[in-house]
Amino acid sequence: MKRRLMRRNEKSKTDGQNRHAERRMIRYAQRGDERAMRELVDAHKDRLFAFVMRTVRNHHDAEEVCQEAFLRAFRSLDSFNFDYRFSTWLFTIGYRLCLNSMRSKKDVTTEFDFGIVPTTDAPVDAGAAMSEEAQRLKSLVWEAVDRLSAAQRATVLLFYRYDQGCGEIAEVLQLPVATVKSHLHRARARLKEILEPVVAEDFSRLRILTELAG
Amino acid sequence: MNCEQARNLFDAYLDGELSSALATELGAHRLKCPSCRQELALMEVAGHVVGAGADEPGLDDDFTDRLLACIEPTVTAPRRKRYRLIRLGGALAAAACLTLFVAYLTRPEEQVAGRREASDATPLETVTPEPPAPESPGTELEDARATWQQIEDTVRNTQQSSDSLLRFGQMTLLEMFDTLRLEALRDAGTQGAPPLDEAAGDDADDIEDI
Repeated sequence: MKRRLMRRNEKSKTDGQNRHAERRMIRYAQRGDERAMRELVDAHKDRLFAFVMRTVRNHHDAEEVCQEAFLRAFRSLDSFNFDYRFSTWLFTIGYRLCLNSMRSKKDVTTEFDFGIVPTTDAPVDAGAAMSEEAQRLKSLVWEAVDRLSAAQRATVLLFYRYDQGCGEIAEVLQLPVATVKSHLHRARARLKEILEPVVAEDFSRLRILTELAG
Repeated sequence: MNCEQARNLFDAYLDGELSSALATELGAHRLKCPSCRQELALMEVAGHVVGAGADEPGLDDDFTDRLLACIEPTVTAPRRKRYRLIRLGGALAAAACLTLFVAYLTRPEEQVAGRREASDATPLETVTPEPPAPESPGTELEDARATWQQIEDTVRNTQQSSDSLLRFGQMTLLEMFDTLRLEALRDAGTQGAPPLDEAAGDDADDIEDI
C-alpha cells in the first residue's frame, strides 16, 4: 500500500518533465522524424508488450498486436490529443486490438507457460533471492490473474503493474470510472475466491508456527 | 467495527482512498481479527506480485527496427509528399502572381489610352507619352523630338524586359507542372507508363517548344 502511494508520488514529481519531453517527441514524430518515432517506440514497447502478453497470452499474437498498435498510433498521430498521455492512447489501441485478436482466435489455447520464454531484466532487490514459498505464491497469483475475465485482468494489470488510477484505466478501457471500480472489486473477489482455498493451508501452518514461536 | 463493516472498507483501503481515521479503525480490527487479516494480506500480496511483474517475456531485440521499416513507407512518405506539394503549390501561386503582374505592365496601349480618354483627371496613368505638338518652333522642336526619342527607347526597353519576365513566368509555371507530372508518374509506378527518362525527355522537349 505505502509503496504504491510512494511510487505514485514519485511518479507525479517527474510527470511534468516527462510529459513535456514526450510532447516534444510527439511533435517531431508528427513531422515524420524517425529518431523521435524510435524513441517513442523504445520508451513504451516493453510496457505495452507486457500488458498485451498478459491479455492475449500468446507471444506471437502479442508481438503482432504491439506492432499494429504502434503502426495505428503513428498513422493517426496528427489527431493525437495532447491532453492525454501517449501511453494511455497506445494502451487503448493495444487493448482494442487484444480484444479483436482474442475474438478471432477463440479456439487457440489460452494456456501459456511464461517460464519458457526469455524474460526481461526485472529489477531484483539485492540479495533477495525468492524462497520456495514465495515462488509458489507468485505462480499461484499469476495463475489466478490469468483466470480473470479480459476486462478484469486488464484492470488489475493497469492498476497494480502500471500504477494507473481508475480514471486513467477508464480512458484506456473506454469504460466509465464506476465500471472500472466494479471490475477491480470483482477481480479482487475472484482472486480471493481462487487463492483462498489454495493458500489457506499455508496460512494455518504459518499461524500455528507463529503461535508456537510466541 | 465488525468484520462486515471492515470488509466494506477493503476496496477503498486497497485503492488508497481511505481516510486516516477509517484506516486506523480498520487497522485496529485487523489486529484482532485473523480472518480479515488473512484476507487483506492475500489481496496485498496479490497486488505486490502483479506490481512486480517479473518473469515476463520480452520483445525481440529487432522489434523497433522491424516496426520502423513498416512505418517508413506508410507514415513518413505521404507526409514528405504533402510538404512537397505544399511547397510546389506556393511556388505555383508565386509564379502566377508574377505572370499577372507582368501581364498588367505589358497590357496593350489601346487599353491605357482608352482609359486615359475616359478619365483625364489622372495624368499619372499615362504610360505612353503623346508626341509633342508639331507647331513647336525651331530648336525647341528638335529638343522635344530628342526627348521623345529617349522616352520611346525607354518604353521599348521596358517592354523587352517585361517580355522576358513574362516568358520567365511561363517557363516557371510549365516547369512546376512538369515536376508534378513526373512525381505523379514516379509515385504511381504504373505498368506500361513510359520510363522516367523518356518522360523527362518529352517534358524537356515540350519546354523547348514553348
